[in-house]
Amino acid sequence: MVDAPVEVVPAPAAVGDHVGTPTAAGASGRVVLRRFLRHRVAVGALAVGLLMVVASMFVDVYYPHSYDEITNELSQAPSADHWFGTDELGKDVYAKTMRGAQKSLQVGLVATLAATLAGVVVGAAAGWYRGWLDGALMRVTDLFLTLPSLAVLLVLANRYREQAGNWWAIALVIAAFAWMYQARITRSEILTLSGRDYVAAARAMGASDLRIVVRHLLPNAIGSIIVNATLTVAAVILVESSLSFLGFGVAPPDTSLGRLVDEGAQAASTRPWLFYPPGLWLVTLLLCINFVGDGLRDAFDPRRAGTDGR
Amino acid sequence: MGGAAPLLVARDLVKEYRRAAGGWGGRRRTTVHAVSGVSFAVARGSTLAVVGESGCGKTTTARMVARLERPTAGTVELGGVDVWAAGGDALRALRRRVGVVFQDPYGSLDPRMTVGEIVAEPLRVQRRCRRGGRERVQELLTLVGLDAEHGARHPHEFSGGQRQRIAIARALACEPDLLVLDEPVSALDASVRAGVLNLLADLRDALGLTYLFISHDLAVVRQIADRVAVMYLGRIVEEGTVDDVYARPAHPYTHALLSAAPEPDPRRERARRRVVLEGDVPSPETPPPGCRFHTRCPLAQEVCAREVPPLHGDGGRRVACHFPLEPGETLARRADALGRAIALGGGRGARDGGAAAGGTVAGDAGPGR
Amino acid sequence: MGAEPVLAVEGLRVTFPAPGGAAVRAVDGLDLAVAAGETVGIVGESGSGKSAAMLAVMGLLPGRARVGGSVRFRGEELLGRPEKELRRLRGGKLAMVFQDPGSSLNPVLTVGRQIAEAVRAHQGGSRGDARRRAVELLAAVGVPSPATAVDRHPHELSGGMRQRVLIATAVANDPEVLILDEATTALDVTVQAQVLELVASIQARTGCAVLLVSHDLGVVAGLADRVAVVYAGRVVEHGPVDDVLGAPVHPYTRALLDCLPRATAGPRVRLTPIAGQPPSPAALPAGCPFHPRCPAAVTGPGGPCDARVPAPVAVAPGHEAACHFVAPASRDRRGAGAAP
Repeated sequence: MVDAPVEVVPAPAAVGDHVGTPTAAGASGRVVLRRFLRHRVAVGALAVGLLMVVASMFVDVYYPHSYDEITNELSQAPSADHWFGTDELGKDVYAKTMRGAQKSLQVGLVATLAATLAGVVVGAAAGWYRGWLDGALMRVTDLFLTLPSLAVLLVLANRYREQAGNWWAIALVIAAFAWMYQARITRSEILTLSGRDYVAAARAMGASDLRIVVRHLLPNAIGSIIVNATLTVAAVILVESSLSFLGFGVAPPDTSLGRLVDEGAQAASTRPWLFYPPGLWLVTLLLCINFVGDGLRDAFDPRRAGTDGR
Repeated sequence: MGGAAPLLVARDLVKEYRRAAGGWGGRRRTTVHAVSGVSFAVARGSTLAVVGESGCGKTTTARMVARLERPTAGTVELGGVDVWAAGGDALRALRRRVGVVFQDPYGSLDPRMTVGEIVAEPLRVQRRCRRGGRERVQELLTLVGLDAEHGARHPHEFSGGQRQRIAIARALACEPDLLVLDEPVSALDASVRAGVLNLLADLRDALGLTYLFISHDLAVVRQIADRVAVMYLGRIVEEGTVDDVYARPAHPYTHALLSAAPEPDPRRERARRRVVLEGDVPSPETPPPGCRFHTRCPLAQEVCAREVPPLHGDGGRRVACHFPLEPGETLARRADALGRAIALGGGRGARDGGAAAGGTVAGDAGPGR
Repeated sequence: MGAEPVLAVEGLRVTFPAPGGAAVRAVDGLDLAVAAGETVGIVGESGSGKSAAMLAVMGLLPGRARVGGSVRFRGEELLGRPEKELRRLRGGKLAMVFQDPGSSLNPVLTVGRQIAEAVRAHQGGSRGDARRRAVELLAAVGVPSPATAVDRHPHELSGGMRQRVLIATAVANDPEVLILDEATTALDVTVQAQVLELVASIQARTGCAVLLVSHDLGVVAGLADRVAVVYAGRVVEHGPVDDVLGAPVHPYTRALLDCLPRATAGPRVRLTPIAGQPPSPAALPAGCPFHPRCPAAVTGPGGPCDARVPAPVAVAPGHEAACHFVAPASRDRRGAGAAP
């Protein structure tokens, strides 16, 4: 009833392009996209990140050397032929870095997918049904949060250590410790949203619980879920790198950025091209993902846009 | 109200919430007595307004009727069918017969859906509604005074009044008999509210609808309703036809409420002497014994704190008061007769005339004795 | 109103920059004056700019808002004054009470502390003195057992009591202008009646000027001496309350009164809604801002309504309306208002 000076009541018929301020939940896809595109750092990060993904995925197409090809140019410094140089076996470091980046990304996406799915299901069930189910699910969530995750991860990953093709297992093990924040975020969103009158309206017309959650609640919580999932990708890649660095990550013939950093670490001072390229690639990728995540958060919820974002 | 059986009957509805009351560990639990024994009947084609101030239980009552909140005790019957006992097909049929419109036009429409999807949702959910799809949506939008082509737009493209029309279209989708309207025009500006009130009146007459209309606004209630039930702290204190109750309030609370409703007529406002109730509404966690209004009632006697006055009366008029006002009698006159000071206020005229306005500012606004 | 106004607002403009370069004109040339001991009601719908105007008077608008025109308090211009000086006036000589009693109080401080701080900020003095004054003020605004209420936190009080506390804070330093911005809107009618009584008695005691901003014509009718009706950021009609609400001449004021249901008075008649929606401040119509909804508007070639903004016309002493079809007082005393 107040005429708040800042919020402009859109007069729809009169104003063609609605300059109104849709709420966080009300933001349509187009509006979110427009706001994201205004966020220059995030757009730049997205461009760089995509370029890096494409570079690693299609490395075979544009780069003459393969990661398993053994040349007789041993421990060469970077050159026009070998962009990042070669290692002591004569393998091309650029090709290996791209190969590692592919695998890191794969692990990151699979783990994030699994963690997001688990987190959303747990969070939605807890937030919608409340009561004892909420209590039980949230205690389990708390339990997982309080476990020293790296130690448990190492124990679990040890079972798959040095087994070829273990990256699936690694991804799922990581996912087992990456769903909790998603569950909490989803739960709190559902708790808030389920107080909305459109949910009451759906209940009054006899809509099933599943329909209300899937049709009304999750679509309106999608912003938070996507933002958190994006940030999870970066976190998961970092965890995988840590595991690989400690020797518990993906096993040969696969490699990952963490494994490459581990291999290059001993030579960091003598042959820096073995250590820095995969390391910097990893850091840049993670930065890009996090910037995109921040940009998405601001785009979905402009009121929370931080002063650091722009 | 004729001899026909009423469409909606509520019997002794009670709603109590238990809630943990602070403290470390939250062991102590209190009970909120939101609704404490509410009964009413609504004749087919008529409108019963439930009016009262915040916390009086009117919205909870509406939600129990709309099957959104399970009563702690009591029954709701729609056309003779117990709403809360029904299941399966009977429940499905009941859902179709009741439409709900909520207060907040910004919260009651899912912002991610198009208007067409919103209006069609009851049809989808119910499946058995004979007609469905685009045509029905266009028909409904036209019915509530919107452009039939607006179905492709999203709610945020509409103003509050238009959104409330969309909500009404959704409530009408399955051709219900009863609309439960929970403060449907409270969030709207005056210039828009009138249009929605007219629409609701027109729809009721054209479609033969029955309304349970929840409001805090006495003027709106007078405009739309045939009968009115006044609630205070979980109970109905007075019920009757709007004309009768407004002209001759018998319960002291009704009298005070009516005298507090401002009118946009400066001369009347100045001339009138309103009863200013002292103190606050008691907490529904610890409702006073006996008549719940006795702590603020200028006419309260000993018996009022002891015995709950039953809601009784004849014909169309029911009052729950041990000492109801006679027709035409004002609260002030009765209080004078009892030798009680009563806080009277009013416009400037009353004040300038040296009326007993000072009484309202007296500090001892504690519970009446 | 022969007396010198305490507060005079002339040609006040408030614009907010909007994305895409367009400006949102929240207040668009608003004139207003209030004298000591006088109550002026300001009525308008959501988005009419009445709250933005009051915030501009108080200097409380966010930095990105551009404010133009003139706001004079006791003859001194307030716009453009340094924040430090404004802060001295705010809560002192100029006080404001907002709509939401929930969020206007700090939840972690006792109400006594909050009132005492307002007192000390302007009058200095010891904590003990300020606390004693807080108890006095709570008693004066009708809070029961003020000596214990000072140590309560806001959440322990009802909405009506919180609004009383806010009023106590506002009148703590004997303001000369008290602005109530929808101060009773969130309250129940019986509580609203209490609070309005309180405001009237404070004014009778202190002789301050009161600006009563409300969307509720009934609230204004009971308390105000004069009324200003605001539409799309301007005053379209103002004058003595009996004239404006009893014999309105501007089509908007008339339409507004026609679309209000009445609680007690008059017959139950079908309401006449106003067509269309209030204009968005981001896209105000040309000419008279009310013309797209006005039943009497004459537009197109020769019609003034969509071409020129109407200037205020005096229809009676002190009663002005901004409409092309309002006849000045000399010719038609009754001010038949809009042409058919």
